[in-house]
Amino acid sequence: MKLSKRQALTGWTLVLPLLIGCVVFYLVPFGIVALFSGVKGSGYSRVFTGLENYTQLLGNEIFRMAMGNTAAFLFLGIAMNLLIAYAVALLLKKQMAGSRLLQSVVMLPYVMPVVGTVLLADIVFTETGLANALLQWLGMPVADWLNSENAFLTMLFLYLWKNTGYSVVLILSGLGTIPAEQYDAAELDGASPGQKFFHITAPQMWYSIFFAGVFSLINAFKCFREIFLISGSHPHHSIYMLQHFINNSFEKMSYSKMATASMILVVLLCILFGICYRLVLRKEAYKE
Amino acid sequence: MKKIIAFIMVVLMFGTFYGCTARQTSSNELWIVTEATTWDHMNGQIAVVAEQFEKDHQGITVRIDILPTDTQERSVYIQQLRTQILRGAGPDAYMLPTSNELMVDAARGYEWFSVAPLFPDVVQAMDNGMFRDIGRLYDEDTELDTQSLKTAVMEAGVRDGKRFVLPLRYDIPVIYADVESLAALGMQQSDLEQDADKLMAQVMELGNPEISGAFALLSTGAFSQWMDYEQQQVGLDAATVSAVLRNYQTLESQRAQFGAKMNVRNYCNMAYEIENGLVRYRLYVGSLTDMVEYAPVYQYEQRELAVLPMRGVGGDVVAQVTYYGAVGSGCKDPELAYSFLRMFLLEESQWEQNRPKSPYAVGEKGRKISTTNGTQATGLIEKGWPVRTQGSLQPLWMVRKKQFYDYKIYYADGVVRDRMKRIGKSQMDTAWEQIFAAEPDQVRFGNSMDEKFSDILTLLNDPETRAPTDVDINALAENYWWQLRWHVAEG
Repeated sequence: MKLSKRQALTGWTLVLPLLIGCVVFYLVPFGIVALFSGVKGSGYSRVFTGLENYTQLLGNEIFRMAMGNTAAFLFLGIAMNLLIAYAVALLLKKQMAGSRLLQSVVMLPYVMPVVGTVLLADIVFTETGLANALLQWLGMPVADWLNSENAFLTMLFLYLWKNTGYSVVLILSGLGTIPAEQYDAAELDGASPGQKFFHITAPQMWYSIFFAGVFSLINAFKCFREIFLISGSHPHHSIYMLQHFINNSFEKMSYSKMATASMILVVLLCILFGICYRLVLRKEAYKE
Repeated sequence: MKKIIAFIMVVLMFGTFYGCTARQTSSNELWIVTEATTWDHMNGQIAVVAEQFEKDHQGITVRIDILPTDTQERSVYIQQLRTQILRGAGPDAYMLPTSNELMVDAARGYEWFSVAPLFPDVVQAMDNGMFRDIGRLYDEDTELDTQSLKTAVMEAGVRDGKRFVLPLRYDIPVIYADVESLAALGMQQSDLEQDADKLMAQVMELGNPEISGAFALLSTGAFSQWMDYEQQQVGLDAATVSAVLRNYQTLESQRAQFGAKMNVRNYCNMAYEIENGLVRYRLYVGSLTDMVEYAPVYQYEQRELAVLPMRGVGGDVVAQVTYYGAVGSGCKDPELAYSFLRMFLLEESQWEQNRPKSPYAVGEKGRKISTTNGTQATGLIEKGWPVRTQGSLQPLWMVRKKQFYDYKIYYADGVVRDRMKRIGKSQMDTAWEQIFAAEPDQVRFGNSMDEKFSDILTLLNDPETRAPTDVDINALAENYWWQLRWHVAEG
């Protein structure tokens, strides 16, 4: 439908405030951060450094440690999140189809405020918490869950506890779009549950898995809030994430370091996103 | 109607952006940011210099902002300041201490405050472009007589060939020892030239409580290799930190047997008349400024005092810049800002000839306001010794001589009373200038990691009995080592 000039003008005028907002609050800051990553200093002391900030940062052992921790957390967390959510969704497919109560229960950890999660961690994982109480009851030595190497597993557990339910709901939505007739036909042809999964369910679930994966990624980065509130700006080194590095660099007025780290993160995420999206497109190509 | 609403929204948005811009300084205003002090310390000197500057530069107003000491107010102010710096504005100049302990006026006398510094690490602030390069202005300033300034200390303000900072005060850890008593204690004067860890070990082995207190004021000056800013790495390991902490803990517990109630920090302001005669530490690690207090005591007692700079773990003598000035990165007129800062390198400021003497308070804008409750604080105008070291002892001796006359007396039975009493006269000995001529091997700026180290030391011994606590020293050392790594890497 082709719009008249007047209609187009009205449309642009109405969209303009939002567009300006997006440009001013997203694009412009992004551009400024990209600029900061190629310079050093502020005001009249600003000098262009090119890629020097990037080479220096990649040689920074604390930055590399933060990258490693973040990558490990993301890969393990997202993979486990999706696997567990997929398995739970398959199990609950029949039960949850008509039960809103079950859906709400599964979503409860996700909607719990951050402070609630922090309080839970405090109750369960501190020195005198429930986890150590259980270990003592079993006659095992107590562990330091928050200020030792165990902190990584603790945070991973908190992430999975909080976000798996949301992934379950997303995947269930995807499962609900697969026509039941396909399963009936497969049943008639004598297909096993495994064959039904690999030949009917899995090929049609790539977009849903991708969607759930994107949200898992977003939520994994949000996990920084819990880690920050539980362990402060400098937690145990096993859970020292990229966000800690960026946040602390900002606090220390090292704006070029902060910007450079952010840009590296953006680039890596774009590459990761691009690879996953191409994979999904290839997998879903049969539909075309 | 829809178009009108959309137009109004766009106008409101631009109006909001315009309103959010920070207050700018006018072109005839010089904006200085500094920390709070007592009225007759640096705040007072800045006020005196500002008045003179305005007379010399007609039409220019010096606006002095003193960072708040209230935690919340300070946090908000610093956040606003940093936002301005980030967008290329900010103060024209800074005059700041490197310590985060401030001495400010109180109802009677003065009190100490711990604050979060504006720049937690001056070296990182220089590397991150927080200050303007004033190298050309400094090098071409022939009237400043830079030859009389402590070259090694002044060079600390230079990074990558650019001068960003003017150090104004500095200090080094100095060993003061009673020569005759050393021999009786089983030590030789040459032992004092050892690295700090070896010296501590020897003192610990002797186990004499009278010398064990030598390291009561241990600081990060005990570590020569500390932070490598170029490589963004830490030069020492957790095991080294742990060893120093253990030695300190043992020495502190030994010290408990000797004058446990004595306040070591104020020792040099008193030394007399404790029932059985003179009571003092025969071996003491203090600062350069202690010289003008220690030396006359020994002169009065006709005893020989050995004074040497202490070498850190690793063998270097480490100097610390304690006060500095810098031109802000947002300064439009660096020549004007430099001409203000250079006044603090002149003799009148360095040797405290323009130190306020009449009681008055320093108001919010850094100006004198009349009052009658100004108690003159003791000590030099700031922590550390002036960088205009050549010829500094004579004029500063005249400043400190007053304190030698008016000694306060403390009693060692735990009851502290002050009384002013004239002890006697003393004559300055030019031999005392040797310690001020000592050239440091390294010069660093004090930073927030120094305070963290001091905090760790307080955990090692019981504050009352000085007995060792059961704190996990290895864990403390490991934690401190990690904090050093983060500090270097993130800044």
